[in-house]
Amino acid sequence: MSAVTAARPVRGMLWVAWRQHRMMAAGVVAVLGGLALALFVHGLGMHADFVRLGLDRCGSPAGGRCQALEPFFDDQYGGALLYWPRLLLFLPMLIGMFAGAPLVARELESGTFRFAWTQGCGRLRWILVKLAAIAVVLTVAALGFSLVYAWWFEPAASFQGRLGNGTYEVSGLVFTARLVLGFALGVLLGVLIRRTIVAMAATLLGQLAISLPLALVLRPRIERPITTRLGPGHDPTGWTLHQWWVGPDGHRVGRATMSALANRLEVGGVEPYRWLAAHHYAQWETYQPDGRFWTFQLVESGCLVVLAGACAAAAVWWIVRKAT
Amino acid sequence: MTEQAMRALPFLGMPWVTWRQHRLALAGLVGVLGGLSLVLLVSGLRIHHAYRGFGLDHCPDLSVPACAGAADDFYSETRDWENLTAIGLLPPLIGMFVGGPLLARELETGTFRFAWTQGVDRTRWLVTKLALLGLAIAAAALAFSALFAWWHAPFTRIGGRIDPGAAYEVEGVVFAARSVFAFALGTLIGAVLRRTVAAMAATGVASFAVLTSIIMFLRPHLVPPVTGVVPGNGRAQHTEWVLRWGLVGPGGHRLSAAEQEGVFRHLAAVGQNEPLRWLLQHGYTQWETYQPDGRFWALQSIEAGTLCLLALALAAASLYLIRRRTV
Repeated sequence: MSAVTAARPVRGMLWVAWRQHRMMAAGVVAVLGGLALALFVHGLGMHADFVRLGLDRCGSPAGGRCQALEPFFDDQYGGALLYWPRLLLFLPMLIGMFAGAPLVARELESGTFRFAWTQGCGRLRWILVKLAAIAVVLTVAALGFSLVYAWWFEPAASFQGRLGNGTYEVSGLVFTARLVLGFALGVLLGVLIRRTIVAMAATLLGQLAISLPLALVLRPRIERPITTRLGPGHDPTGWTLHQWWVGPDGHRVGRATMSALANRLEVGGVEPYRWLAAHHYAQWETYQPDGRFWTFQLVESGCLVVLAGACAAAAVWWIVRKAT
Repeated sequence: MTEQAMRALPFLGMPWVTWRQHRLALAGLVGVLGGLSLVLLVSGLRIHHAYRGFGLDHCPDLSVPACAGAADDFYSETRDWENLTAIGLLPPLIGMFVGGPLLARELETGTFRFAWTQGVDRTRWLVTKLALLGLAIAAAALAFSALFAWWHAPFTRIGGRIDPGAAYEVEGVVFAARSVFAFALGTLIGAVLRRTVAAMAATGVASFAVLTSIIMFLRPHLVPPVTGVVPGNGRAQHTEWVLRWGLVGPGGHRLSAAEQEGVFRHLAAVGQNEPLRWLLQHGYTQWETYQPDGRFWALQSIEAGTLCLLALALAAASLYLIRRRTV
């Protein structure tokens, strides 16, 4: 063994990593590959219909041409466009949990770490090679999947945008960054907890505890939102954060007050929106334009990757210094 | 174990073992559902408060214009909370964490040799575990579904609860039946694979695949759907689960898919912004095939009953595998 490790210091360990984790790698590739294939087949039909209806040539999404055909397209593909992203956004958390938590916890729980760490390959190289090799496989698989997903969603992106819905979490870089964070967090919690199933459950909860605040608190604030008055020609691809009414005196009017006012108008037989516009009521909103997609993706996935690096470093330190 | 201890614990022995071995899983289950209950309680109070704030509790008929407007406003203020219906994804996780390791862990680590040579035969050992854990899961899930029904009541009044992929998956009895089914499936997969982590992953994939197939292919046909003409200018209140819809021309015949596309293309070419309103004003009507919201309990009980029977069959299969195995 010493001859092998001396001659091929990293390749020996790579072989071990492959033999120990090939089932997991095959599972990840099978799940992501299978889903990507399903998206690809479904997407071929959706793209063909999108072009056949002429929705790709309608220019501005607010134009009349799209508005008449959009419900027709939506009727066929709306369900898939709604449910797929909602389900897929949980995928990186599950994959991260399965790939990360058992990695060291299983060795510590079953006692095989005693064998693994006395083979002439030091603990540092043992864990570094495993972490690096698996992280590369996961990153490549997740990025490939996100690319297929982004292609699949393209038709809807032209009238829904990609910021305010589940697509933000599945296309671009955030999907991959979340997966890598889940993996690194899982390894760290596995090292600390030393029990596979408990570490897996803790990893799932830990990922939610990190990803939810990033999505709900950080994301709307990555760039200062734009404030605009709603009217004709309004861009529907933006991500609306807040909407409110401003009265003729220039002050905000509460939603309940507006609702009561609209009711009175409607009961009196007046078309509310026309009356409100004539009496200088205006609707305002703050929103993030779709053009900021990549900035948002870079900032959020940057945070996730830094956290993942910190988790991995802590796990390595603990294995080399503390674990017995 | 001495003979005396055996005699002292004839029936409570196995429940005690079940509790000691699986208390962490049960605590996790109760912790997750309890934490989510807290979220539902806090947000539910705010949703019900907003519901009253818009005066919807004084609206006997939501199709009255004043009430329909208030319902729209209420919904646009609170709709973000409806994302909590993602809780419907929990049953595969319950199967993964409680069912997957149940037999796989004993078989993987070899502790089954100890467990099956203690004077309690394997049948009773497994039946007790499955029954107690299954009951605990069902009870916790049913209680959670009841709380969720209260939480969702304002939304149910406006949009119904029969649409797939939302409240239907958490309310009623399907959530509990699904959790028990996923648990039984996890147990069987664990008995077959005999590896904990692999069994957990396979349970997640398999239970998710079964549950989505039921939603997509089975549920629409559990009770034959209704086909009818949509009255007037569409509906003020849209509570049903629409499976298919289409247009009826001014002459009274149903438009084929190609004809319908032609109509929409024509409207797009002339720059019509509100195609449906234009069509209704020009003598077209809509037909749809749907499941009415009133069938919620009919669909729920059929689906839950089927899942419970499947769970029993899976449990029997696990028992068969365990009894056949040599120590």
